[in-house]
Amino acid sequence: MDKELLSIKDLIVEYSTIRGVAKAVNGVSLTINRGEVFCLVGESGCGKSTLGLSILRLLPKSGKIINGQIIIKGQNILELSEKIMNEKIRGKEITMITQNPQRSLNPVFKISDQIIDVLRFHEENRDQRDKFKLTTQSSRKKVIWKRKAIDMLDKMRIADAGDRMREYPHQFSGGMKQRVIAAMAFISNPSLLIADEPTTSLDVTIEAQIINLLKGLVKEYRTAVLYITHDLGVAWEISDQIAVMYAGNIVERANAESLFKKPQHPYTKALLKCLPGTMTGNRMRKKQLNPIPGQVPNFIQPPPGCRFHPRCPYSIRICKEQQPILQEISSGHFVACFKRGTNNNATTSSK
Amino acid sequence: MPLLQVNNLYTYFKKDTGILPKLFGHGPKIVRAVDGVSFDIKEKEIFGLVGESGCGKTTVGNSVLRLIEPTSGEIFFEGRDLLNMTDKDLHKFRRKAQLILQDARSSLDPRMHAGEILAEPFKIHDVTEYEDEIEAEVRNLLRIVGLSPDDADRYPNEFSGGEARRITIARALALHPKLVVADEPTSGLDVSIMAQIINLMVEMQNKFGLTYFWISHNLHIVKHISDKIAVMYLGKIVEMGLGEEIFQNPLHPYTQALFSSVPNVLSKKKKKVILKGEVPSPINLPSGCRFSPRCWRVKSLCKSKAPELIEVENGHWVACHRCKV
Repeated sequence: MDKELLSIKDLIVEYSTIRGVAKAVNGVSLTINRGEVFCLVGESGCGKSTLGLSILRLLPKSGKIINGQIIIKGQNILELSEKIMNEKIRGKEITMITQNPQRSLNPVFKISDQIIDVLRFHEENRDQRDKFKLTTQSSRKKVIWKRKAIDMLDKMRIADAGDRMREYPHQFSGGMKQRVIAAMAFISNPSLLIADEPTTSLDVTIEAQIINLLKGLVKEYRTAVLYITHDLGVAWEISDQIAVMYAGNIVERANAESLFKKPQHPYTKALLKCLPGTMTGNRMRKKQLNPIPGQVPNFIQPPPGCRFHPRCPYSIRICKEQQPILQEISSGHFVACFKRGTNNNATTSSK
Repeated sequence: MPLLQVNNLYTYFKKDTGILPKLFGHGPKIVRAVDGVSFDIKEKEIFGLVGESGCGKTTVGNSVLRLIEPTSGEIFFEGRDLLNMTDKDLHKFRRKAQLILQDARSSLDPRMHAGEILAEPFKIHDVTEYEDEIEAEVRNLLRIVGLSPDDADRYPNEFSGGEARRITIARALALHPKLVVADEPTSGLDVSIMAQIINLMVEMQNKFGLTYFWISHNLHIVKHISDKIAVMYLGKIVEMGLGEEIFQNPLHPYTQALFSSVPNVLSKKKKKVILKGEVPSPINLPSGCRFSPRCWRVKSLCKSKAPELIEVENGHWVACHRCKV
């Protein structure tokens, strides 16, 4: 079996706004292997959610995929019809957990109906080609679906799943709702799960529960996960591979160990230095942190060349003129920076 | 003498249950948001209050400023009883104690420009009659928090999240207060902006000799910034002490679980303490220790008797039956 599950090539996504066209994803390429947790980190507005939504082709009307390929199991998602997308990809091959569990559940339907809907939709679609099958045993099917849904909720460690199924979303707490969404995401046994900040709205103790649960499920179902987060701590805990995004580009990609221990791109380094608890010596005593100077650039008129250069302490002339491409500097560690390889720590100390 | 002293603060809210329960003779439900909290904050100290959402930390912050009337308890600010103050004295107190709210955008009036927003404190407290003096102060304030004096003519929606946050800080600092209650001053900000805001607030503390009452659920920040920390769970303080001490040697099982569940970069991937279940509702509190339904060290005593906050080591207070020395 092929190791590679999803590969994205040169993806460009644009939003048309009143002020002009904003390139939210600016030529991103990545591959996700089977059963791997791939983490996408970056600050808000760097295009990570847009990338997640483009994979399911669920961008808002103003967003458009301009260029690129998104290939899952050899199929280019961008060439599929809307019908095939709904029948075979969305909620089946690729599922999603979103940031706000409150908004992803329909408040007027019972939890059981919403979970069973996932199964019903895909089975009925499949059976339409087989009319004979559809007419028989439909009531028996309901029992099977229900059993499946209860099993799934049990796996999500929801106590008394059978009884709680009959409740409505507002009777569930935030953490519980996220468990229900996870149940819906895993019930069709997807090969890829897109988790867009699934724990951002939860408290730390509940966050730890959900992350632990996801880790277990990923192992059990051998599902690959594209985990989108802004929390570097979460990324460290859950991921195999991490990609750091800045202003629509992936600037660095490596496995978790090597990215956090030997960050190469100036942005990754700066991001890690921002975290409280990384300070030592005098700065710690003075309670000072190391923020990144400046702000995330405007997407409508981004800076030329490397988009990070106005905030980069190591920028040289070529950074303003050309956009660096992602290159492998050591096994599995990719960086998009002209000053890669040369130790950019040393350059500042000599300045 | 501590700057702020809080003794046995109780703040309850009545939750109206609607007409049917009333007809059947049930009274309104009581939400025990803050249930017997005592602490004191020394001058020029950063006192961090941590806890999960719904544990009552914001209510404590609002109660000590009397923005919510406490149900009972005592609050002393510079030795004066806050709860029995005349309105006139309270007005004077408000000048010395300021609040930075969680959501910067919604705490700025969208129809006033930054200059007007920052001029308000001077007008409310009759600092000066002269418009040009106020204007000079406003320009100065904007400069201090790292904005340009020309920003006075912009409206709140024209500022980014970090800039809006700077304006709320400037507004809080306008009258040189002694105490600043900072309620999640960095929530909703990206790490790089968060670092800028924390640096600014620390700088302001050094410059004006401020005392911060820092309310946050972000343990990294509280650890980084606080001199003293109190951990709250369901309306009560479960552990309190010096920042270093609490982080190095947490004694209460809840504190231990809370600290171990925080995802941290490059932390060893050791086994975490993962709590069962969720925070119970503050309407139907569990009997005995409030943490007992989720605690892994629970004993029969914990279920019948609520533990008191006692000093186990010098300056380290814990409310747990299992942590006695």
